Amino acid sequence: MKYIKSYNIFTPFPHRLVLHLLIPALGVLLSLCLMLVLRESAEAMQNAHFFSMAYISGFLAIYAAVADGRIFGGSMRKGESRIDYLKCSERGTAVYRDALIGDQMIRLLTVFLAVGLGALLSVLLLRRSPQGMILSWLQFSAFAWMISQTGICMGRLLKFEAQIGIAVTCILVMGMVATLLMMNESALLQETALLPLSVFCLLSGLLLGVWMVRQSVKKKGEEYHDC
Amino acid sequence: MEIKRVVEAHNLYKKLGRFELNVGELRIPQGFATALIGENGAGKTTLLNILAGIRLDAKGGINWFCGTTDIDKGNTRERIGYTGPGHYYLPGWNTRQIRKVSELLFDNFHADRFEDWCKRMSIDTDGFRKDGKPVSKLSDGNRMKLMLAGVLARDTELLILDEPASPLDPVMRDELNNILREYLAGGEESRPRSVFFSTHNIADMESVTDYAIILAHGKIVEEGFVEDLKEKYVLVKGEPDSAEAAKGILYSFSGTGSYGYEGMCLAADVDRLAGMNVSLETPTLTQISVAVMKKHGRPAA
Repeated sequence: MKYIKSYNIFTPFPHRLVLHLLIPALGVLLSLCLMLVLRESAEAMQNAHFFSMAYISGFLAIYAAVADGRIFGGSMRKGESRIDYLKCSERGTAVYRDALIGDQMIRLLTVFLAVGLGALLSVLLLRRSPQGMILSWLQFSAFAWMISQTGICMGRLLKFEAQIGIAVTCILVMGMVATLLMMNESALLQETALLPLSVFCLLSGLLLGVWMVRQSVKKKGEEYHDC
Repeated sequence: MEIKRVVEAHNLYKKLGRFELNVGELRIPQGFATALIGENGAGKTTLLNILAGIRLDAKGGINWFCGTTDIDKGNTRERIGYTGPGHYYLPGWNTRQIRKVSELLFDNFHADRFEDWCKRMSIDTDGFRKDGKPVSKLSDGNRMKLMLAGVLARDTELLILDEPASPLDPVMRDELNNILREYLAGGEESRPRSVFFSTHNIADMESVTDYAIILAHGKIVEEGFVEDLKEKYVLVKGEPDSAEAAKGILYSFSGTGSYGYEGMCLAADVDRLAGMNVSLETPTLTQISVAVMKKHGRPAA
């Protein structure tokens, strides 16, 4: 598939390894350890099922936002991420666009799959209700997706130095989201606020992704003029 | 013999801040190696970028391969191989990724040929491993070799190379001359190959240069086949006593110490030096270029 091919070209192998394998695997491993430690305390176990999802979604969001600065950082600023080799080919802009689309698709898939793995773990090991876990899974994934999209968008609009600020912001926001979700046991809050909010996050994350791709491709095109 | 032009341009104009590139007529002969020579800031890179289609914002008309006036039509970009300084590859790319992206970008890229060139030029990249050295960690010389390997692995008809010799060591510069000669010789009668390169190392690239274009302040001030230029100019060396008299005749003049002077004279003016204590020699391309650049030197601020 052309999107995957182009995405693989633009992203270093270690980055893909960390994003798609290492962070999810560490999340699962850590939550297993935590469950083992907390197995004596029924109260602590109540919230332990959120741990893997919070960990995975939080770190995926932060890592994706920070690492993107090294890959597509500044791509939404004219002349910031010049690659003259692409300009030598009629297909250069198309390959770049495919890589950006591939990046959006793969990150979305990674967030949902990795957080889903945490949710599945909770269902299997802690015997949580599958229905409740599906809801948590969607909420964590949607929030993580939106946060990483916002961080990435800032990194593509701003300079790499801004990544530190972005990372700190992501940590704070993700921490607040995780606390909110972990403390929430009210079905009313779920229905009235969290569910609509997560749908909003998912959709706005997707829209932001479309805008980022279009903007980066536009800037690439502008590099042929007054670069 | 009528010489075809691989690129012809008319009234090329581009303003960049206070600098203006203003080329009335540009003709690059097909089947030859043409050197673009000029001082820093003369407009060499801008001109090469325009001809390679890296910039599309210049005024004027360009005709590639005796027929195409739009670089994005008729597979024109496929037929041109370009290497340039600065932001060429993505800094994080390694040899393996460059091979993959080249396969996506160009129909005429041959992965096996790319590997052969990498080996032949001894590029230190840790081979084609997944975690091979990224471009950002390569020396300038290896980076240039990697760019050259990329364009030589394709079936092109015109190479546009921006300062290919500058980052290379003397042995590799010599090898570059051979490589470009091989490239030119590999062309077919129906698809002759041409090379257009800019250089500051005129002496190192002289053996491969057939045609020279000298640029000063964004304008072409001299051009011609090297052999013709060597007939057009004469290198004059004289004793100090004839310096003042020769100054008015010479095209360029330098050094009036106790060892005498040296200057460039147009062959047409050599007769006017009769009776002076001077010796005449055939100049090298470097000497001609320096003389022409001095003549059209930057006016004092």
